[in-house]
Amino acid sequence: MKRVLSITLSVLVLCFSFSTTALAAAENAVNNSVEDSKGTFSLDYIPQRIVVLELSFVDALAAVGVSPVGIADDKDPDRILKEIRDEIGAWTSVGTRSQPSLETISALKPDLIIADISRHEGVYADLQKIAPTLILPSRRATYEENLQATAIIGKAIGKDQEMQARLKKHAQVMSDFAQQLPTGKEVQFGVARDDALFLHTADSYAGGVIRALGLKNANTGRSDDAYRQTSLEQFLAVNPDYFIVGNYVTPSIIDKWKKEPLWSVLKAAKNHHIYSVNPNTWSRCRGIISAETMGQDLIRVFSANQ
Amino acid sequence: MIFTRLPFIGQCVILLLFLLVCGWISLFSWSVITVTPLDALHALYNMNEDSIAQHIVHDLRFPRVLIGIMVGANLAAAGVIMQGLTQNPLASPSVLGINAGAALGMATVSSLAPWFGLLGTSVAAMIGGGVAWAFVMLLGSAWRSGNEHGRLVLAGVAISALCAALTKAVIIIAEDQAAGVLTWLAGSLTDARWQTFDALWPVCLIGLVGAMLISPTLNLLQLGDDNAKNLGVSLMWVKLGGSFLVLLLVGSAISSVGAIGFVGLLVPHMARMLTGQDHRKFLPIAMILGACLVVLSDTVSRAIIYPAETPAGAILALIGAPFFIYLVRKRTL
Repeated sequence: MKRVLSITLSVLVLCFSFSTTALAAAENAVNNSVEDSKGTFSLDYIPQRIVVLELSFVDALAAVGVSPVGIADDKDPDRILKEIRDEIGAWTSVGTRSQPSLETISALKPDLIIADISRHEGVYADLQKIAPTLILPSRRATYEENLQATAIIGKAIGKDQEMQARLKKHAQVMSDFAQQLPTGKEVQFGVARDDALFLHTADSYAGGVIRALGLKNANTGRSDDAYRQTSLEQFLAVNPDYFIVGNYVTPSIIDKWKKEPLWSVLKAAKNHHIYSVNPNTWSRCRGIISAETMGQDLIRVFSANQ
Repeated sequence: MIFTRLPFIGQCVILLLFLLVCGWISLFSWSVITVTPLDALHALYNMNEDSIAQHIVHDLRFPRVLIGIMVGANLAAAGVIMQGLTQNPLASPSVLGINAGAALGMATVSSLAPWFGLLGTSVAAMIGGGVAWAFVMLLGSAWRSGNEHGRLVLAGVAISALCAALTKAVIIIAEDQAAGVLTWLAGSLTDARWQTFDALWPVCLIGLVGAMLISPTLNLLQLGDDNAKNLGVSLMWVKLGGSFLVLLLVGSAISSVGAIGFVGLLVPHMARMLTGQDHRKFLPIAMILGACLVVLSDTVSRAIIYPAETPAGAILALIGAPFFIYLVRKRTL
């Protein structure tokens, strides 16, 4: 009798556990279905081993406390902001963002890859052979597109509620920053390399963050590209009130230009409104955590001014 | 054509006038800040320190035009010398691998070996170009008399392809520097300033004067190596000296503005169409024509997607390719 009872009990327990997992899986399948840049994407499990191929996706994962196992960090861990590094655990570098190593990615046995439509569309098919691949805009994407991508990631990894809450908090933080910043001041961000200056236009991520903080973008002429290479002559025509520069190398082209007489004609140079910031925060990361850091940077800039 | 019947001096004067007009137009056209044609002249003669327009002309546009002129003259002269030395109508810095070698030198130095930065990227470009040119000459056995023309070009194409592949590999490995190297590869006068001018003109002067001095000997080489030898030409020294001049001219030009192709290939043929085969005449004409071509394409490069700029090297390729096809069809090669 005892035996029969124990068998029935264990069968019951087994049945119950099966049904709950099946239920959970079914729920996930419904919840996790999202629209990415290539159509509908769905997972029937919560991904545990995520590999991300752009820095903005690391930001999105860190925002809800998820650690990726592999990051295309250009083999330089410092490209991930310290704020984000503190949130996530150790990761394996899978190479550069432009040429991630497919071998390293598959060796990590991921159950989800998050790729960038701008950089990785060419290897999308190969990535899919390794693991289900969520492909979203990151490079050349606007601030709004990045926020949408962040929300999609939250849903796909089964953390929809946390992510929505985090995004709501982000909106609050940004509007708090906007309160502390003067409205309508013209701010232009650009990254400086050894021999070229790239302005980030109103269509870029930094341009969007600047607007979200209640500031204004400088007029960079035709607006059909997020990043525009600019000569000194064209920069004189843009002539922004405030110029925020991220130097990828030092000395950069800005240091060369500073020695030229024309530089002093710039409004920003005349009024000493040129500030240098961390280009990783302002240009490469493009996530909600970096946007908040950018807000803090701007508050520092404008409070130093008064 | 009336032009070809004019005396040599007349041709030079007309071309020089044309160059002056091109240069002047380039000083004021397609500027995001309005520059009037008069501003362009005032900036040169009596400059108004407060006018932004005149500052632009004086600090940006004028050195740019001068460098365009020098680069054009350099590359055209180098093309003439190369074609004269190798007796090959296709010889030019871009076909025979100098551009590709220089690019590789630059890319390697700026991405992989920054310690080399002490010597600067221009030195790297010259070394790269020199090594590539030496390889091409060796592989194409240009030193032996009675060489086959095809072999030299094939060697040039092969070395160019090798250098281009290595350059790409370097860019992929050090992606950070890629944007800079790519700008350089396209060839642009955007960053030509007085400093560039100061570095360029002495080398340019030596190179061009050397080219003029070597031009009578190039005429003799046209007769074939054996005849030239009988007329007292030391082939070894002419070829070494000529190669050195080419490196000087090309190295200084492309290290200051980047890899500009087609000028060295096309302009000698244009000049030959105008004045005939005498190197003493068509070398100066080629220099002026090359200068006009580079200044013009630099001006056009600002107009195409105004207010942004296209690299002048790309414009030259756009002008150059159809003209080259025309030359091939006319069988002047």
